[in-house]
Parts: sequence; structure tokens; C-alpha cells
Amino acid sequence: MIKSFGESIYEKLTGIKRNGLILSEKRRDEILYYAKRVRAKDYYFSIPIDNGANIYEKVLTTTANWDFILTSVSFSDSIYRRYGSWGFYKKFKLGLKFENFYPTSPLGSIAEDLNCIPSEFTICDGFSYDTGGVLDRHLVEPKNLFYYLGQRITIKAQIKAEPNNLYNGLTNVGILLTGIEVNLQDEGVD
Amino acid sequence: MNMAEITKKLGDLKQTQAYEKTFDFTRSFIAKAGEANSFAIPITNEGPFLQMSYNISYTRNSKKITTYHNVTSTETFCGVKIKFKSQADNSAQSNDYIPVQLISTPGGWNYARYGARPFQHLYPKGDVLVIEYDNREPEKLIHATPDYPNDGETFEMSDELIQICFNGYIYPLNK
Repeated sequence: MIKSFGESIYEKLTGIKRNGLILSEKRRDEILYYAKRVRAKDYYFSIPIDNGANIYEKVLTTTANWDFILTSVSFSDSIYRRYGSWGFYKKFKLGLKFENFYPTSPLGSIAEDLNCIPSEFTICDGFSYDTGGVLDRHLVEPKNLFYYLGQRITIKAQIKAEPNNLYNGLTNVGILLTGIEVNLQDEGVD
Repeated sequence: MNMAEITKKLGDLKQTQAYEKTFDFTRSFIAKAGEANSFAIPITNEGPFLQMSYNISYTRNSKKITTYHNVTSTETFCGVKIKFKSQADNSAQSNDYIPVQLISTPGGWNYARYGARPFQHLYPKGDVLVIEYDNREPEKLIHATPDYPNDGETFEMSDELIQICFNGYIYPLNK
């Protein structure tokens, strides 16, 4: 239900007809009203990774007063490092966990509810990432996610390399969480 | 109706009704080597600009020289990180600087690039887009060790050309 609500807002923003169509003033106001309250947002952080099978962790919190809907996750290869024909590392395991301490969380304790984004770092081959030694193959983007996470969500990422798959001591992996933020503070059209 | 009447009617229509039109808002800039800076760009005063997506391409002029386990290699890279901010929104569109590779248009760096990255944002009429960039040396992660005292890395940062095209719609307002 929450999902369909978010989607309906999103559709209002993207489903408009295009290219010089004459709009009624009401329709225009409607579009701008929803546009004002729906915006794209990126959350980026980088995490170290090494070949000692150590687990590294980073935490960030999303914006207050804006509900965050996660729509895609991208990883950056270690953009600064690559050695000869080796490729830098072959695989890492990443897990994302979402925690919401905000009292009006739509999903409460959501870590268990979000099976697509693994809550454990040892999981889900879908999030293993094989660089294959290909230069500039820095994007892996699981798309078509639609997770209504709420506001002030704490996102905890944990990562580790599989043993013997890293040909260097240490690097950083960038993680980009892209989504839509919806402001529900002010109901009613202006 | 003759042409003059048609023109007048079209003019009246535009005066009395709001409409939308597609709009490409482009900007190129040089990210100076070793600098972090920001600049502001006024967006059109014609009306609100509803950005739907953007394309970014970049050069890859900076150089990294690495010695790892006594093997030295050199590669070029682009170390630019950017952040967008709307003055009216008073909030950045990302929580941190994002490496330009991660949000640029897909494609090899020296090949044609295709597609656009969906990213919706409404800029009110008269709004100003602030672009912040950082083209300073990245963090060094490789260091000499007792076994490999020559290990390390050197960066030679160069100016990079960043080209951005924001795609969206303008709603010219007549009132």
C-alpha cells in the first residue's frame, strides 16, 4: 500500500505528456506541486576493503522530513586503482542494513522486511561484484528497486573481500544509493 | 483564417494558458587540477525548470603512477568529484561529493556515450544551480612496507573538462 502510494506520486511526476502540450493551469499546478515534494537524491559513501577478510562498516543517515524511497544501488570499482592486467580484486561481498529510529517509520524494523537488499554481508550473490579486470566497468546497478524506507533512516553498509581475491593491500569501494525523496509535511495543493 | 490571425490566436493561447516545453540546459567547465571550487549558474528566468535527467561526460587527463611489489604502472584517470545544489532548495542533491564516473553517462571513457541518468529536481523560476567540484589528489592507499620499500603512488593531477547537459521541461509562466 505504501509502495503504491509512492509510485502514484512518482507517476504523476513522470507520466505527463510532453513536447509542447498545452496544459491547463490546474494541471500545471498539479505537476509543480508534486515536483516540489518529490525530488531525486543520492547518498554516496566509500568503504575500505582489504584482502584480510576484514569487515569494514560505514553508516549514514537520510534527511529529516523527507521520506526516502530507494530505487537503485550502484557501486564504483576502485576508480583509482588497477594494476596491469590483473584487475584489482575479483569479488567482494556487500550488505546493506536499514534501521529506522524515527517513530513514524512506515515499516518499523525494516531490516527483516527488505530481502532484496541483504541484511548480512555474507549473502546474496547478486551483490557480489566481479570487476573482470575491465577498465571503466565501474557500474553495477540493481534497478527497479522500490523500497519506501521513510525518513531519518540509518543505512549501515558492511563489506569484505573474499580471501585471496584482492591483489593489493587496501582500496575503497564507492557505493551510491539513489532514490526519490518525498516530503509529506504539507498536504494539499498550494 | 489568414496567417496573421493564426499567429495572433497562437499568441493569445500562450498568453492565457500555461504550457511546457522540452529544454536542455548545458554547462561545460574545467575542473582545475588540485582545486576544490564551486560556481553558480542562473537557470532560465522563463519559468520553473523541471529537470528529469542529465548527461555527463568527462576527460581523463590525470595520471597515476603506482609502484606495487616493485612493479610500476601508469594509468590515466579522472579524479573529479561533484555535487549539485539548488539555491532555492537550500539542500544538496547528494549527501557528499560523488565521483563523476559513478554518475556519468554510461560508456567507455574514450567512446561515445549514450543515455541519460534519470534525476528529477524542480528548480523554481529564477533559481540558481550551484556546482561544487573537487579535483584534488585522491587519498593514497599504497605505502612502502619493510618488504617493499619502493611501493607507493604518485598522482599528477590535470585539468579536466566536464560537460553536463540537464534535460527537462520548462513551464513558462505568464502571470
